[in-house]
Amino acid sequence: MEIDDPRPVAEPLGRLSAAVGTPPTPQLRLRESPLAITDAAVLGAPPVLEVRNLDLWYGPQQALFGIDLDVRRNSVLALIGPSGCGKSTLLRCLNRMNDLIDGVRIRGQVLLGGEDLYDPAVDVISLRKRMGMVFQKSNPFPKTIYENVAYGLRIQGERDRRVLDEAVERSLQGAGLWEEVRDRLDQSALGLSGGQQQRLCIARALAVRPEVILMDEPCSALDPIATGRIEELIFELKKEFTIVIVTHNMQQAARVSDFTAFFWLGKLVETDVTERMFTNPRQRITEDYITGRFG
Amino acid sequence: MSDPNRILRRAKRVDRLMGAVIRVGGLTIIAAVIGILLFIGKEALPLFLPPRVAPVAPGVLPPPQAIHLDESGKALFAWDLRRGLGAYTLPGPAARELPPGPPLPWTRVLPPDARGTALVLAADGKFYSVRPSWDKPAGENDPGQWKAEAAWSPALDPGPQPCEPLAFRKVPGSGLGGGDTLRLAGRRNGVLAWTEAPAEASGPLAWTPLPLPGAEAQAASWSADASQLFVGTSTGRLLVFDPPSGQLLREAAFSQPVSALGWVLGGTSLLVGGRGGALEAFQQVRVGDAVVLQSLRAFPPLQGEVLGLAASQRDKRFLSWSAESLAVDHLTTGRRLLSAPAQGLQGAALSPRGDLILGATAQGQLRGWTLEAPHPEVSWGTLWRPTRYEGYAEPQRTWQSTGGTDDFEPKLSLLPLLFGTLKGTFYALLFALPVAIFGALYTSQFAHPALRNLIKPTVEVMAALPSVVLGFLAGLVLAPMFERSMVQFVIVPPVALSLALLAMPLWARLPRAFRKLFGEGREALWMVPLLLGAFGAAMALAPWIERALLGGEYRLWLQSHGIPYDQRNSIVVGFAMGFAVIPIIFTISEDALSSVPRSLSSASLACGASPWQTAWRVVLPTASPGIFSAAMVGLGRAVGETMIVLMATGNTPVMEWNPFNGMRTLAANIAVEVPEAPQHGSLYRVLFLTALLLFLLTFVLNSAAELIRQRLRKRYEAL
Ligand SMILES: Nc1ncnc2c1ncn2[C@@H]1O[C@H](COP(=O)(O)OP(=O)(O)OP(=O)(O)O)[C@@H](O)[C@H]1O
Ligand SMILES: [Mg+2]
Repeated sequence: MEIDDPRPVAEPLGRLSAAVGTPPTPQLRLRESPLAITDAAVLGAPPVLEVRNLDLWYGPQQALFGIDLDVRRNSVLALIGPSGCGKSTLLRCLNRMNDLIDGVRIRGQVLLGGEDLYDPAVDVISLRKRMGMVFQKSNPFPKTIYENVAYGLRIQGERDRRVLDEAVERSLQGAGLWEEVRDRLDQSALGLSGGQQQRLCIARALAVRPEVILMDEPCSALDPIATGRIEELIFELKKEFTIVIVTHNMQQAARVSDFTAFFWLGKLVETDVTERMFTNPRQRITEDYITGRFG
Repeated sequence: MSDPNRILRRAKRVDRLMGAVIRVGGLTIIAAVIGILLFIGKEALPLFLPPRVAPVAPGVLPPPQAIHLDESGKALFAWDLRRGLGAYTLPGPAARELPPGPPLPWTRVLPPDARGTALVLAADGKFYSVRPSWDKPAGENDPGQWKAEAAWSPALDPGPQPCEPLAFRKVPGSGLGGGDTLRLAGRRNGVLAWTEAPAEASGPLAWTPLPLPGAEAQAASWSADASQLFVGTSTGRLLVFDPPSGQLLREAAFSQPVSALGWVLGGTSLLVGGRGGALEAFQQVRVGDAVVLQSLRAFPPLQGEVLGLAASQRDKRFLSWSAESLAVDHLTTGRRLLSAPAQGLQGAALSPRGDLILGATAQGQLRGWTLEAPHPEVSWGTLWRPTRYEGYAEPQRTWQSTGGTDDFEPKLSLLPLLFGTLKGTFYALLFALPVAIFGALYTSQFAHPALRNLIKPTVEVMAALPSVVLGFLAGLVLAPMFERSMVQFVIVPPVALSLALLAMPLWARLPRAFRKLFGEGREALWMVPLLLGAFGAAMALAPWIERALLGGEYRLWLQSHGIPYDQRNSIVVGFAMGFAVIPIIFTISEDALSSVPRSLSSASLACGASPWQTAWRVVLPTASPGIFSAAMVGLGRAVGETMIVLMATGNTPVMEWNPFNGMRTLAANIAVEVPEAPQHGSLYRVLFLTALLLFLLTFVLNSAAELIRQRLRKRYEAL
């Protein structure tokens, strides 16, 4: 089940330019139609990430079964599904964070720009630089705001203060946090609010200019306003990055994503353009899940 | 069914009861600690109490020229020019009978020495010496039962010329034929002269003049063995003569005309009193190749000319008096223990114990003081600052609590002990901190869980090893082993490191599957062959290095560079004590490192950091307060460690950072000295003071560690 031949989706595209041009306030967006808008351009974009027939075992227990999935350039892919269905596991496969878990076994391929991530010759560390990650719970380092953002560059050996300053400002602006923290860059990141911390984590991921940003329930610990801001941010980031987001919030998936993939018990049930997924799913079980009739 | 209300009430009751029990327990512990602290403080406090002086009024005597107090302080002899020698018991004073002495009136009395031997110039122009004593039948305590005795020497004929005696010393015979001899110095017609004669001499004495150009001898004193004559002149010079050769050995300048000379217990320090009341101690010390006479310490001046000096027979305190005042000073500390105005004083005496001072005025009025100064040799200055001791040319920071003789001057400086403690701790932590912290970092961040589960209990077992065993092994096994193969031990770490660096590229060439199986998390396995290889290489290399670079024998090489080598040295101690503190530092650090939230290391890894960068830049700084507190706890442990330092160092209180010699720590010092310290003595109290110091040191360190741990906890609550 993959998105091979994208069909044009006519109507909702009209509202796109408005949405991108002037980002509406979160409250407004929340009250708007639950259906998002899929950018016509992304439908034809080439895939950045291709998951091919991926199986994964935690010890003896299989957690992913033959996953096949494409992530298109500058698109947002939402992974949805009930708890324990393997969304986070799949996400972690994309930047090989599963390597850190003991007893994980993986079969199949994940291609990034046509190159297999699990090829033995691949350097995991340089791979992770290409795949930014934002976690469910914000996890800034107990350092200053500046050092948090500069961290990714510092570990690459960047010492030039000007380069770092520029990257910190760019990333914080990219994460929509610059105006709020520009005067307190040398204060501890732990003094920020939860929403700010999460945006700081996004800024930290942006600083190394990754190709793909992986987000695992980035808003689950945030209030609706902070959530709204992050959703707007995702909308902005899409222009530059490719985003894979795990969410339990159907509205969120509908609002921010171009494509949606529905998982159930470690299997990819179906994946499609978000509008179609939410209006006209092909599988019965998808519909049940989306409409909340799921047991 | 039971009533829920009743269950609730019972739960509350139990709660209250247990709360009370816990509170009582906690308070008891706090009270016990404070109690111990107070007790230690109370034992050490008398060191710093001012001396207690109380006047006594013993009564009136025929005005004596000189007096000598009995050891008991209950009886005295008085020399009076007109009435001769008198014996008195106190209180009273009650006159006691004595056999008659040389013909009266006397012209001059040379004041009695420490044992009470005095010389008089009698009416017949001859010298007589006497050493009166009390016969105390069967240790009788009541002076009323004592009998005074005075055996006068035969008359010594000074010859036709009149002679004014200045100094006199009886030299005991060797026992091989020949009895005691006397040495006398005096002024004949204003010229200094000396003579030597057998104690039972009958003929006139043969005097030899000692030239003293431009000055007149005012006071003189023989050294303890009467081999040297010390002379003070009217021009304020101090001269040392070797009388047989007539040679002037040394001289020194004094600020005033000299009026009195005397000795402090031990006969090393010469006390000099001046006409203007100046008071100073001199000594002969070796400076470079020469022996010089130099000032040891100056004391506050008396009022008026110093008339006499007398030393205690117990410690280094001495009495000095003038016609207007009287003072007791201590040589080591320079502290004035007693100072009293005393009009018209003529003779004075200090009891041998130094606790009773009697002064007699020209009218025969006796004045007395009791002096209670149990620890005069200890002061804040001697404990903490370099102090000039007898026999040293420079101020010293020395710990030497007891010597071979009674007149030994204790040197109780805490500096070398504190230094030794810090040095031992330094070398222990130098070894333990890197091993423990990097070990903890490896175990918590890199090691395979199976390995980790092996390392942690092993380290905890290590903590259970009694320190006596460690000290024993270090002192008896490790120290000789180190001595035999110091070069090998020194080169093992660099050899191991270079081997590792050599092996690294080889590792990269190995098949991937093999590396995956034995790589990450199992690196520790490779340490074993690596270390064995390093040891082997070190064994092979060391003799060659020793021959090529160190001239064949490293100890001689060290010596030639001015570095003495002790078998029980700081390296051995650092190793053994390091071994003792590694478990605690490791355990606390490991906990701190493991409690760094996984989310932080995940975030770092997801940013593209290597595991090492993650450990070094995120995990270690985040855990740093915990690691710091681990280091502090280790430090506290090392500071207080006793058995290992006791057994593995030579306990020499030196103050050098040289890793090849030993040290003496506060804790080991207590263990070493306690058997030698009589209860309530100065040493005993100083030991309590060091205990207090140790207590405070560890208390401060542990409190700091605890505070930091609290801060750390707060910091994680924010995450
Ligand atoms: N480290 C692990 N070791 C063993 N099993 C794991 C581990 N992590 C996840 N699993 C198992 O793999 C399955 C998928 O887990 P995963 O965390 O990917 O689910 P999820 O879809 O992210 O769920 P949620 O929505 O609750 O986050 C679950 O059955 C889980 O129990
Ligand atoms: Mg999940």
